[in-house]
Amino acid sequence: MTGEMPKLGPVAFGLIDQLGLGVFLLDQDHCVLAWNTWMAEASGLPSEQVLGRTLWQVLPDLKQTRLFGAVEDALLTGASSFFSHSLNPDLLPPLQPDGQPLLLNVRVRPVDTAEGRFCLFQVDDQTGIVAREQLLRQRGDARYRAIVDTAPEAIVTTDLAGNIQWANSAVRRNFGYAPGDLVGRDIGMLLAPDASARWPRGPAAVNRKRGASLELTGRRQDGTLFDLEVSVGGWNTDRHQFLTGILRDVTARKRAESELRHLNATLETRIEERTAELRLEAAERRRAEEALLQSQKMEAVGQLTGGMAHDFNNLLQAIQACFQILGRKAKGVPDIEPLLDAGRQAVDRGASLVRQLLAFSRKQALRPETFDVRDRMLGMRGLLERAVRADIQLEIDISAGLWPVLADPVQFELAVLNLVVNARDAIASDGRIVVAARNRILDGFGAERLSGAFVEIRVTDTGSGMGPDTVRRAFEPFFTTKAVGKGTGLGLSQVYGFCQQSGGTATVESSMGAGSTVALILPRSSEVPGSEQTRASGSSEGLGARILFVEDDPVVAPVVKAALEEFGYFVVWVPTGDEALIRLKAGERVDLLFSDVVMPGHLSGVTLAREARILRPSLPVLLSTGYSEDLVSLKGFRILAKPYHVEDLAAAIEGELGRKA
Amino acid sequence: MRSPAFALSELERDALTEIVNIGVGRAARNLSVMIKAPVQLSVPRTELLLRSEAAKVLSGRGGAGLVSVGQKFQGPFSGQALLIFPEANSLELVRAVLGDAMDLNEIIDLEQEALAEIGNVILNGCLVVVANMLRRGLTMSLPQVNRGSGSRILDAENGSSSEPVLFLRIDFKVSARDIEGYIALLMDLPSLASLRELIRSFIDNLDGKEVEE
Repeated sequence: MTGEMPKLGPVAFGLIDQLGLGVFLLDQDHCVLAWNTWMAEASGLPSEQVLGRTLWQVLPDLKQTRLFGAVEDALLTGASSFFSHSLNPDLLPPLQPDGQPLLLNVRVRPVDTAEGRFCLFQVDDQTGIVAREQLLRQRGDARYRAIVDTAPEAIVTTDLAGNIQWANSAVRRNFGYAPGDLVGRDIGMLLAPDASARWPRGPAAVNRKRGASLELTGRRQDGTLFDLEVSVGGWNTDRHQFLTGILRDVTARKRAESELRHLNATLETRIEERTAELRLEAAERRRAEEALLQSQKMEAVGQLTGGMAHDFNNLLQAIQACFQILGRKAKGVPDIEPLLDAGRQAVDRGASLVRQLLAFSRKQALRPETFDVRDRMLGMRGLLERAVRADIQLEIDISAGLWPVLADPVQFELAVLNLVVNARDAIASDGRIVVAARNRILDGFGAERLSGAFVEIRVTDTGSGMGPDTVRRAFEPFFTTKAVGKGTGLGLSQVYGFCQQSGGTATVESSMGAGSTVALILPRSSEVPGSEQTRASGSSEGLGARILFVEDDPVVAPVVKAALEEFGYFVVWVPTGDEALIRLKAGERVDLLFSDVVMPGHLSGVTLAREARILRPSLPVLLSTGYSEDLVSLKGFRILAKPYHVEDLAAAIEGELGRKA
Repeated sequence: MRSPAFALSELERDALTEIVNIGVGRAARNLSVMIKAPVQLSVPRTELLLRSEAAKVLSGRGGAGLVSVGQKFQGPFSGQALLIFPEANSLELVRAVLGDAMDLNEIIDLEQEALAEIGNVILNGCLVVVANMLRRGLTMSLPQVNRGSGSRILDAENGSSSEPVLFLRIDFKVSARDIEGYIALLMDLPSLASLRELIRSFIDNLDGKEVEE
């Protein structure tokens, strides 16, 4: 093992043979002076083959390496050199039994002794250490690699200065670079210039909050820019600090977001537009409803107006006639004239007031008051009779002892009128309408669970009736079975609404072909109704000409009869044309026929007049009417317009009788 | 120059600069071969500074961490030779020498040894030339890798911080790799007198040759 190197001493040589590393020594001439056991075993060159020869004779290839210079520097200048296995993988010949090179770190240094300077080699075997490190790393890396190599996002590691140290294979797809092209370059090459400044750098970057993501603009190799979402985290090795970023291409997401935003923005606009349209439509519908309601009211009021005008004119006629009679009878009674004048003026004012009330009633709100159904029904009988056709019999059947009710009397009359008109329209030809009223005690009646004392007014017809579907919807607003333009569909709903509002209800019963019954149920009032005016009645004397007087109005008829009798006529009064015709046919003595034009029953005044003409061509006929529209059909007959003065009537009668005479 | 006693004459300084320049030139050639890319050098600057001041100069631009490979030398004049670069350049320098195919983790594993060897090749190149030109042997230690601030690298954190040193600095730059750093030589003051002598004899030798010619 040792040559002739007594200067180093046997102990030293014994020691170096025990070392677990390679040691050998060269003299000034590069001859090997010592070659320890480790070197002999590792190289397969026993010391006998080495000692005394120069290193370059033993291993000729080594002279071409930096080792030669290192030996010279060590011996001539005193410099030490270090050769790492990483930079010099094949520095020494293959020394492993399996032919693999050992990973060796070699140190070359001068050793100065009294005998002069020598060159010492120290050879450390790193193979085992490196292999173990690699194994550990591979084990640790396996899972990590499985993640980063399959990730669709670019994953890039930089040092704190922003130099790229590593990149996964996804950078090729995301940025167009091979991972190797990026290593050593600044991260800025992957980013737009302004984004590059925002990439975390410096020692503070390692401690930046985890999970915080950055929105940066990325730059591909071809120069195109795109949106990136970047998550960056710092990590340490024993000596270094790194930042690893996940760079996610969010172009598609951004575009989708922007489209969604746009869609949302326009959606709101569209909703606003549609809302405005709907608002307009709702307002339009409300206006239409109001207009419809108004027209329905107008229709009802219109129907009422004619009848009421007729009724009130009759009343005023009667009162005026009364004053006439009173004036004549009380002639000479002191101070009677001013009183009579006052009365006549009151009648005139009454007439104008009625006109005002008629106009006013269209705007009337619900004004409940206690009233007697019997009085109201009888009061409007004439109106109802005029509302139905001549081929329909109207019966009013009111129980005795009827309770007063609390409701708006105007609405009540409107409701009854509506029902009667509906009933009339349901009857194709020849029928009967019964309006009946009775007291009822209810206990949880109907949907409203009504309990207590009520008055029920039933309007029953013998008309066509309704099917179950129609019955179910009968009270619905705008529901109508009438032809377009014939009805508003609001009639029954007004009836229902009125009853409900009054604290009662309305019901309908019907079946196809069996007629209908609509019932108004109104609460009983605890108060006593205000008393109606008592009606005046006239007296008769029976003188002179015999007049057949046809007048359906129970108020007008007696007064006019009385007034005529004042004039000395003998008056036979009948309420219908039918009755008058019967009397004429029976050959009863009649000097003059005086008839109202508009009357219930089969015969109107005009028909009666014509029939009478046929039966008795010489019979004088005088007609009176409150309406003016049908005057054309009255040709050939003398007409007296209502309200007329009794003197005018007497003159007309005398005129007709005189003409005949 | 702090004190006339430490002063080198202009001629002496020029001579020293020239000697170091030649040494660093060889060092740069060694580095250039290792990284297969050209290395640019600046002209050496010579300054007489306190050790703490030298440390400040090293830390220089910004307070970023530094990496150094240092070798001590002893002989007629003693001191420290250093290869210094910003820590951020460290892995890139290793990668430049080992090749780009290396995985980051392998680079990190091999970094320390590789840096030691790189520094050794460069600093030996420089020191051997200087020693040979001054015709004196120097004992040069094996390289050691250090990290941290300038004062830590120069071992200027203890009582030695107020010692004056002769500080030679050469900037180097590898454009292709974005690597830059310094090669620095620090010589202890007690060595200065013998260094002056060596420089004078070097100058005389040159003069003599010139005379002979």
